[in-house]
Amino acid sequence: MNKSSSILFSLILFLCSSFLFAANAETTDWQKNQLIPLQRMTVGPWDNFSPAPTPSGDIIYLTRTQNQIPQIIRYTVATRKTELLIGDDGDAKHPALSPDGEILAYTSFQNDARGDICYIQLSDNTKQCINSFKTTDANPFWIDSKHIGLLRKQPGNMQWELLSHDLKTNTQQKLHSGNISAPAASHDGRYIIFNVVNTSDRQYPSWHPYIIDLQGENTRALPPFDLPGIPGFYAFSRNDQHIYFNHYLSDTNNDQKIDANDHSVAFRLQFPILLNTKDTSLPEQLTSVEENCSFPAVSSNKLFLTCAYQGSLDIYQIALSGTVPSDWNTNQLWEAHRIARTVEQRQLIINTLRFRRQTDPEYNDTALLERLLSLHLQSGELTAVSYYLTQLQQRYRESKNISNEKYASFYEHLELLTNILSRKAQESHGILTARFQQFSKNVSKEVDTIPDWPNLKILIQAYIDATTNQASAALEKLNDIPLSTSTSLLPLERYLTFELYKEILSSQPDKLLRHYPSMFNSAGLTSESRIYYAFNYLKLLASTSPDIATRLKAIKQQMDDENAQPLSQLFKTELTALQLTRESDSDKGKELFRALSKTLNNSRKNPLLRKAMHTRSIQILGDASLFNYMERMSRNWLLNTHITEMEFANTAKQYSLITMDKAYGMLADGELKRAYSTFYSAIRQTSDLEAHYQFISTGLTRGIGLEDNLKKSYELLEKQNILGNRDNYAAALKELLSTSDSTAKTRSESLSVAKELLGEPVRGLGSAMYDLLRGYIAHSQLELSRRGFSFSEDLFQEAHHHYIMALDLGRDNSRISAASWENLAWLHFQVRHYALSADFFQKRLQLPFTDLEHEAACRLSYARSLFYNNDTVSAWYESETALKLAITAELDQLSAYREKSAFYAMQAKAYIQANDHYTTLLSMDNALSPHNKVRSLLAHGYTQMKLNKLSEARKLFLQTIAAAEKLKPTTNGRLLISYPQRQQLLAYGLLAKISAEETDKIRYRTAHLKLLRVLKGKTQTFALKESQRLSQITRDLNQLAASYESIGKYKKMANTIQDSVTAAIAWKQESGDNIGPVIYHTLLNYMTLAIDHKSHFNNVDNEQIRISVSDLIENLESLKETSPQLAARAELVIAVQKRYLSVVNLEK
Amino acid sequence: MSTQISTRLATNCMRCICYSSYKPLVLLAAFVLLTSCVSLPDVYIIDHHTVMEEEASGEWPKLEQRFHDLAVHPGPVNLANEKNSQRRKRTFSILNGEMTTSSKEYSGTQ
Repeated sequence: MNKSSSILFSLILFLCSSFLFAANAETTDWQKNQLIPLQRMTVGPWDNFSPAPTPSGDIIYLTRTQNQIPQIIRYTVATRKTELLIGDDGDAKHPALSPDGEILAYTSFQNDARGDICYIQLSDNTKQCINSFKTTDANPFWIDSKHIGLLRKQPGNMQWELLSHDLKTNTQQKLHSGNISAPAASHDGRYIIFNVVNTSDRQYPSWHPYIIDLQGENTRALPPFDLPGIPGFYAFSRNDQHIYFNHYLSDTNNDQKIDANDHSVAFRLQFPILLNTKDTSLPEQLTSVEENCSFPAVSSNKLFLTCAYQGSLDIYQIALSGTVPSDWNTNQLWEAHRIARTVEQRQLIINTLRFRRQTDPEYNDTALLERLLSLHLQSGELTAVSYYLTQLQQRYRESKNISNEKYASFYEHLELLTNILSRKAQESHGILTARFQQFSKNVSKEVDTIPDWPNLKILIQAYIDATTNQASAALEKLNDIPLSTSTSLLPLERYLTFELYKEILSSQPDKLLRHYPSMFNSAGLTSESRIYYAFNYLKLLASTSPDIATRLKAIKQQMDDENAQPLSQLFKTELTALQLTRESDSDKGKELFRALSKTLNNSRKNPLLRKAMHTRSIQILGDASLFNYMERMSRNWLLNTHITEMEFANTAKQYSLITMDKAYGMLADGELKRAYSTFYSAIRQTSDLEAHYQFISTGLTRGIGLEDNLKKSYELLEKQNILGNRDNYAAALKELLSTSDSTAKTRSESLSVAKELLGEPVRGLGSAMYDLLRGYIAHSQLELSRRGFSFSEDLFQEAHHHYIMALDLGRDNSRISAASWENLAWLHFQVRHYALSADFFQKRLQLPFTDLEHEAACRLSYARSLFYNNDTVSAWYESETALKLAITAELDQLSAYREKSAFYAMQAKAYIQANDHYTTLLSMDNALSPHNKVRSLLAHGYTQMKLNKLSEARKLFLQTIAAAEKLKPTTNGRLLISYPQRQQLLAYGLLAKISAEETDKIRYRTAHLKLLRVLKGKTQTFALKESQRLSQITRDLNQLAASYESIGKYKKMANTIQDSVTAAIAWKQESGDNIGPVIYHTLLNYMTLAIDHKSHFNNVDNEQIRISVSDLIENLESLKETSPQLAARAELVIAVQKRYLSVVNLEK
Repeated sequence: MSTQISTRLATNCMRCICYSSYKPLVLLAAFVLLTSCVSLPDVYIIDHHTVMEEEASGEWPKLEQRFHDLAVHPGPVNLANEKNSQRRKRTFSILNGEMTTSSKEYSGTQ
């Protein structure tokens, strides 16, 4: 089959399959058939946290930390506009909105570094603070519209007081004291909930929820939540029916303690239940550990959270019921569990199952607890493991059944193992302390006393050996555990045994491989675990035995084992896929492919096996570069997954990944038509916006004649209802790309039209593309409307917002991330946020590039941002890397790269390297434009001067002056007009500086002065201030006077110093500085020279001098109390004036 | 102090012109008093960045436009593949089952 017929075949196949999906799509929206993602509201790079929403949720008050300064911002949800509310006159944080929405309380640091509680009337912005001199006040919250709750700490006291402040009487009532945190009040003003920290165990302090009933009973501790970890902040729902809180569930930073440094999870609990129960209460998990969300705040229908992503905190919103759809039934929850891609997602689902099924008579909480234990073990969170071990012991003991008592004993002794592992994790890496060794010995003795569970005993002893660096002994013990023969081993024992094998044999994969069959052939494990171990066996086999024949032989051996029967389809897939990779005959290859497809189709009813089989075959075919077969495997997987399955979203993602990779590969190879057709297939199957973008941009590429086809394709997609809400995006993009090279006016109109067409956000696969396009439109509008340094702040904010949203939504998509980082870097450079621009470039550089030119360009742009951010050395390094890339890629504008490297080297004081670059550059014909040559001559001269090669430097400065003489000013598209006189000015100044002979100094200084005088009235065009020009003129005249004196030309000296006084007075008037160095030194110099050479002055004691000196003395004296330096100056001028007057009066 | 100055002036030592707008004042006063000499300030090429680029750094407007065109885009960067991306790992990840004492398979009826 030739290429054209192959494309045709593909299109027909896609059309057929698309009809199938179009029909199914009427009943299921697969894009929504999954966990609900959190919706981001604010964007970094600054931290945004502690939201306080209005009841409707349309306005949110929040803390923003910008350059380490916390401020309170008002954020309007509909427009995304932010405005600074509090903080321009001092730090402020933690806003709390009164129940009537009229007053905002907050912690202020304006007048007290320890913190005051203040409040602002939102109607007129009047502020008041609660008087609290010397105390530390924090955590404001509203009890009712007339009472603000707060925490107060007296100086020198470690305990907090929980106070109620009456706004009317301005008095406070103490409600509780202790180690209190995170207070919050119910909306009816009756209850206050907070945490009390118990620090009796200093290493492991514990947090407990407490409650105050303001209408009744005293403060009391609430029963703990049925969760591992510690509670964080609280918020009541608007109707007080739920209490929302964040909880540090597990030890995500692996420091063997759960605290506020760990990832946080949002929960909620029915408040009446919490209030009335005496037992632990099981809350409902609302977010996953991965999302790391805290500071819950509630509007009438939304939950607002502060979540950490990519190093910054931002506000996100979600339905009050959280990320797991509230209408999912038990079957759907188990389905979500099965298709989960991370352990954290599974923890969320199991916790949801526990919560939702607790009233179900069939409900078996112990089994779910065992699953949670297992999940936390998998993620190595031993503190949470310890919690569930205790829970399981209790549950099994409560049932008073002999068999269950046995399990209670098992979990009790398993705790010894977690103790060892926890203690080991606290030890410094690679160091075995005596304390840990002693601890191990004690545990070892205890293990010996375990009455049952012989294999567990061996296992724990093996772990003790492993943690005390006795790997061989550990291995010996492990070999005593009958992993392959025993049917009595508990799954958890089996798991832990294999985990230790994995750890010890990590550097001997061949040996580890031998233990896999004991796992995947074990009937004691779930089919999912068996598939998992078989899958990983095949992966490890591929990496240890690249030779296909060896792999085939090993797989056949496994297939011969009757225990492997349930996995035979997986092995068969592997076998056929491997055979396909080494089949050179096309027809036989097709036959093998058909056989492979048939095997895979048999897995349709077993989703776990289906996933493993397709993943392996895709991997094998991809590794063998059989991309067509790989793409067909991927499609096969999609076709074998029914659209009503939750897994369909994941299968669509994988298909999109594979297809897009294939199409991008074609783009890279210049096969535009094939890429175009492949992107089309991705659109039809997945509606991925990224595929839309590439399909349209490739279709509009000039010279390949696809415009008509593009039009017809979209008509067809529209007709078949495949476009959905993607049509707006496609229309906006077509508008934009078809006018990309138009005039500014047409371009501006086109951008407005595209923005209008784009409309509301598109969510689903590739949704980041919507934000990338919206950001780009605002960015382009900003570029077109920019005038000099002024730009539209609104457009900047809009572009920044959407680029960050694109990053967030496309977080694992390198292509979208790369574009977003680079666009952000340019955007921030253009508005002169150089530090942020450099930061964004640096992030962009961590991702790959399409070609060397792009990387070189990005590195040189990064160098420029670094340079503007005063990091000259890093700028130079980056420019050198860019130059090397440009040389390798043989880029046209190599001189530009070299010139930049030379310039940044000079700025980084790497004069030797700068000199080398300038020498190369200036030795090449036509490497530089005349203007650039003048600049390079000047910079080269300066470099030589710094290398103390003064003769060379002088030549170069003279060449600079001569070359500049021939040039006219030019704009060159730059912000400032380029005047060659600027280089001349500098060259003359530098020549004067390096000249040894006074006559030379005078000559160059005079030329310098002449140029400065010419600049009168033109300073702005030369980017100079008039005061700077006058200062330089005065300096030149002073220095000339000194030179004339040294060669005995006293008359000239006298005239020159007199001129300098005139210039200094002009400077004083221009700058408004009466005592500055220009006037101060000039007058001192004048008097000094007059004392020595009075006879050469025409009018040595003139009115101008007398008045100026008197003014100077008067001004210095008036300020001498403020500074000893000024007092010393005054004293010096008075002394010199005295001497001067005595000399000139003597003359008279 | 006046004696010092008188002595300095009398010995005709003051051969250098005092002028520096850049040196700290304390140093300046001490320098004037003790040595009667103040060196001239360096001529700085490093000034405000935009000004400095005008003076010593070359201008490459075409290259700058090329950089912009390569960088600022409404769509993704056309990377040929992203083999080791997080989303690929996540999409193709296979999780282990959970280890319960009953080894019960999950189902909708559990």
